[in-house]
Amino acid sequence: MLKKIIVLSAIAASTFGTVQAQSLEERVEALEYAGYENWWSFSGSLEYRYDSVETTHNKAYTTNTFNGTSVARTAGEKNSTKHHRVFTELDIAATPSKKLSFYGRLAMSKYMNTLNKGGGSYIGDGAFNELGEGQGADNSKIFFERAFVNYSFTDNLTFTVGRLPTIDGAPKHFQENRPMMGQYPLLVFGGVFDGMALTYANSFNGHAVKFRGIYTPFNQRDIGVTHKPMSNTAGQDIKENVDAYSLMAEYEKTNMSWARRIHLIYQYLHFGGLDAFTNPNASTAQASSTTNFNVTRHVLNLEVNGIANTGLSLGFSYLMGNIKGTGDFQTLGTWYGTSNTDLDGDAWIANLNYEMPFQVLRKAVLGFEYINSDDDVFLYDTTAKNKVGLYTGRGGKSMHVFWMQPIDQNFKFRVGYQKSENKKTNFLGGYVGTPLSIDDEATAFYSSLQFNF
Amino acid sequence: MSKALLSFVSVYALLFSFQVHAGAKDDFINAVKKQCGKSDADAAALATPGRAGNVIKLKTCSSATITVGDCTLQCKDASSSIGG
Repeated sequence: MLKKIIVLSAIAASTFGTVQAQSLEERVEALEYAGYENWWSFSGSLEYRYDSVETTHNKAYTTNTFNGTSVARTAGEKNSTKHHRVFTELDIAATPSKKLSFYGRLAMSKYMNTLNKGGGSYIGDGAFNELGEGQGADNSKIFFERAFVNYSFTDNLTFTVGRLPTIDGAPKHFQENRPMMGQYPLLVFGGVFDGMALTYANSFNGHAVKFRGIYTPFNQRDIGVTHKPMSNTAGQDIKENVDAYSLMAEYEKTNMSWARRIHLIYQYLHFGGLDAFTNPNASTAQASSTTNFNVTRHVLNLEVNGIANTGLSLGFSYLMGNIKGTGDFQTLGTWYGTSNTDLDGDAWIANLNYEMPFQVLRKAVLGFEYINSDDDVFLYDTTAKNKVGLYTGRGGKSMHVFWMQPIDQNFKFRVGYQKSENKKTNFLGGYVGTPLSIDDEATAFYSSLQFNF
Repeated sequence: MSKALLSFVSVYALLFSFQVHAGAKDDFINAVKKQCGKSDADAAALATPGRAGNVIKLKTCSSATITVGDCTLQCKDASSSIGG
């Protein structure tokens, strides 16, 4: 009897101990997760980049900048420049409820210690003022590169509003060896758009699809004279809001026999009636032109990762675009011509990344990309880190080869070579007035140190 | 266009209100099952907790991919995606 009691007691104690240990383990695990599940989380990156650039002008031509400065190039003119720059991103994420999430990014992108930004003329953030920025009693500027909320009505339907992540889109992430860095493929538009979107997402037997409508109205107003619309030089009111809207469809599939992942984006974007060359005057609220710019584009972006169970990834992006320009800007003409224009222009980008299989190389990546564009294509990349106009050349071919070497989980080193050609421009600022046939080449060697935290 | 969109969104917001997000561990397990074809048990076994654990590695990943065991996972940057 005594033996039975002892045995039963031992079994009971053992069972209780196991349950208690399991409970303790789960509680520790829950605590560990809790630290990462706070409403607010921060992450970021810092990059130092050095570019050594050489530009060659094989044909002579003269253009004007938008501020009226004449720029004359002579045939055979060569220039060499060196650029030390710092880029930082401080990312903020907040999930106050299971339906609402906020994402923001504070960003700083600058040349190191630039003392004469004004080219000899005093400007507010130039001269020695830069050495005190952030501490100097100047102003309280902080820039949000993106700031938006997602509100999920259901598992499938999400509303988004704010300053949207529309820059640095595919395929820019190939060269950074990062996840996709922006929602709009680069050939759609490389600019930060404010607006709102509605996304429907669903999955059918492992086929994930998303459909998205995006509305990003451009404001055309003198923010010093808000009680009436601006008017142009012909006395006509300028549209206060230019409707810029876009439709997207995304498809993703993973774990296939021939590739680890395939991701496809189709996007349509349109805006019309944009009068970007306003020169509002607070007393008259008049614009300085009658130009109108209309843009329509279809972009297909394909990415395939882990092809044939290797580190090979391919990307292909194709733009089919049309622009229309009307009106006149200071008797120089309109967008891409001297009189009304209606031009088609296509471009494509091909990417190849190969992740090295050798453990000693820590997943180093060798990458190559090639860009081809028509004479009359409209390309825009306002956040380019490259100094050769890699993605914005017209009528030329550009290429980029790089080696990305992870040092550890938080530190990457990259070296690369870039070459771009530009065969076409327009007299004013590259976009307006007489079309000019040019033959510019730019090459750059660069190195980059990137830290993620 | 904008008015129609806003009206639609407002009506939908009033009609529906569900919980939609999973936790980091659930996200990890779903990713392993979907991207590497693992079973529930195998995916759960890979979901090691803690600062150096696989769940946090995926959650804080800044590269294109991470490899956990024999499974390569695509990292995501939610701050670069409209609508999550």
